[in-house]
Amino acid sequence: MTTKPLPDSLSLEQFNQAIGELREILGPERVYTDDVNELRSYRDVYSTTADKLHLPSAAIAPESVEEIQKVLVVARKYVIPLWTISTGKNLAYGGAAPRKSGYIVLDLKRMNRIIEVNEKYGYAVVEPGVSYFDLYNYLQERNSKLWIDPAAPGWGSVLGNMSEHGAGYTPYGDHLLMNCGMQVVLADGTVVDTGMGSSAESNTANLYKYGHGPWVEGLFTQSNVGIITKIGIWLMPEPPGYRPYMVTFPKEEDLFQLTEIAGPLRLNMLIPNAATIVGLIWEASATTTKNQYYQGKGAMPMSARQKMADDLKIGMWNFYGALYGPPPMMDNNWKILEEAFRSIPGAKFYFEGDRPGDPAFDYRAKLMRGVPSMTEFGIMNWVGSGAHIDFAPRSPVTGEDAMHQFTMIRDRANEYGFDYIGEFLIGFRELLDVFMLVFDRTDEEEMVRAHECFGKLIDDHTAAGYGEYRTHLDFMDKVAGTYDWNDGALWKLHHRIKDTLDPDGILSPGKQGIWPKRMRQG
Amino acid sequence: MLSRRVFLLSAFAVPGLSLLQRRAIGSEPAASKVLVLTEGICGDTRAFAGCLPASQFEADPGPMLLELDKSFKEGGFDLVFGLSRDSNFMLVEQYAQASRYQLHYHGIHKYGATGLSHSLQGNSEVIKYLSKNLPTVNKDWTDAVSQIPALSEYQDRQLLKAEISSSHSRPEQSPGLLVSWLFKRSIS
Repeated sequence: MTTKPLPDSLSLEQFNQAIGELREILGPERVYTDDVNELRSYRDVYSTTADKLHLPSAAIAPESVEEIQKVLVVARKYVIPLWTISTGKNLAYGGAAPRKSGYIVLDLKRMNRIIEVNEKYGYAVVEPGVSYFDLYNYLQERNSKLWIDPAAPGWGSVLGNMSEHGAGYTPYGDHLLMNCGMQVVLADGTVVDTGMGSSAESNTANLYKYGHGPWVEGLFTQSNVGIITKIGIWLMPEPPGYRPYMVTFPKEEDLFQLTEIAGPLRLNMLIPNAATIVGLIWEASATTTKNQYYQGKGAMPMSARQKMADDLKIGMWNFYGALYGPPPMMDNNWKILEEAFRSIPGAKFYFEGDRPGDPAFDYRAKLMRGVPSMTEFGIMNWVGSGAHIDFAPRSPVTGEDAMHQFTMIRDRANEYGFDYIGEFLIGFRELLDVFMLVFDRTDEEEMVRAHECFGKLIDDHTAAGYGEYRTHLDFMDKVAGTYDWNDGALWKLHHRIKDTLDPDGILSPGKQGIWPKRMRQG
Repeated sequence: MLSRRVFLLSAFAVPGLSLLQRRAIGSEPAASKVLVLTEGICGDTRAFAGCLPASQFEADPGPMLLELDKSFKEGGFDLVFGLSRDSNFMLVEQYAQASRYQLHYHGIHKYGATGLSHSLQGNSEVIKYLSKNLPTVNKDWTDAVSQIPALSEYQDRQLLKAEISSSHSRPEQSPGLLVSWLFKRSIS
């Protein structure tokens, strides 16, 4: 009697046959089946639910498009679900773990070539296994004058983060917007180059996004109708000047006025990058831990938070932005920005050098100039053995919406005994609220509480008209269910596309709440 | 450079090893290459770094992790041992497991109102040694922890758990919780 998770509807004998065929394609060294020695790295270390819900039966690591095509033949033959990952570092949203136990993880980490960097036009073409560190180091070694735009943890995949609609902090912070050109392998093995790249002699595959006819790249992101094997990503030319800054604000209520001020400045590009409004605890956790200020149970009270803010010389809100360009232009823009922010009583201004040894300022300054780091994981020490799942709703950039979201999340989190650890990223026309629900990963009761709290947050925000742009494996169906206008027309469309492009339902079943026909309920 | 910090460990070098324990080891095994990692964030981790030649994480652990990943892939160490905050342990674990290093020992050391609690899991020799020595050591409890790599040379695969406490008081700047851990390279 085996306890090994298997793909639905496959016997152990059939599974072993399939594994044998995969070993013939990839060699035994790139087919992983040992639960202890090989598959431990495909767990979600930040899950609020038991490991057993997301255990792979195996993992495989192809190195080329041709190998993927051969793998797909086996997957279709045995109807094996393949859960595609790039580097598997999507922590807080599921990491490398599959949606359901028994899937085989299609791990593309060995497809890690930087195929092209075009210095003149400012783009790179990369495979899924290329991390932000890889691309950054590659550019540095060649004295490139191009910047990357990393997500906060630098170990993530450039392609993977883009395909999850991730964000960075330079002016190129909208990663999907900066994608130009994509290669996809469909479930039947067909290889498609999108946009201008579909013309055999194209010299604009990574310069002009839309090509001729429907623009299809979006179909393959946060999705499961193809395997992205290559993308073009635009890179920002190094500007003649760079000046990061931080402005602290003393009161929680300042969020209203701050958002009202920052929104138009961002829309008019006086704030050119994805600037952030960082909450007190997020900012403080780079240098301190909760029990240095509060040893009681539940959320940290205001008295302790105020003392921490005073000690660390940070605000209840901390605004990070940067100026880019020739010094006279930065000087002029700063006059406008300073005057605007100074209208909020108690605002304090900091530039590089004003906060020596402050890791929070240092890593923000790095991120906004495209230098990848791993500093942000320090936040997890807030509760000792911390883990997090992220709640990420979008709203208009207004003070009213920002305060509404903040108070809703804070109050719900506090009700469940958790601290508000959040930040707002200011897009051109939308506010991205990222709430890190940080819990003790060694405390099973706290994990259950975090899970329940997260579900309530989705309910609260749906009722208030806010939608989440991305979510953890365990909540994909629930969030998908909130996009339900007109009798769920959008998800019905997703399912029709899924059934057409992947009729066997082998590619990442359940990703973002999109299931193949054979696995849909009802 | 991490490789400059690697030291060779002989089990016979363990202080206080009893005759019985030496007999249990038998003939001296081949020396293991050990990498020790910590971070200079508080008195406990600094004391630990004084016991063993340790490499230290900075506020941004990224550069060291990249180096570590490369070394893991090359199988450069037999044992990787550390005392750190949990976030850095988790990051090391991700790279270690991807290169078939297995967690053989894990301890959580948490300060509370009455002292320091230790939640330990590892082979029986390690757990017995820590259970005996952690509560009695007067000054730096990390000195007892630093003996773990040598004790892990035993081929004893029996895993034990233990919850013990000691009366150590929390040093200034302590994050309140540290973890000690040991990864071994799998031979398969």
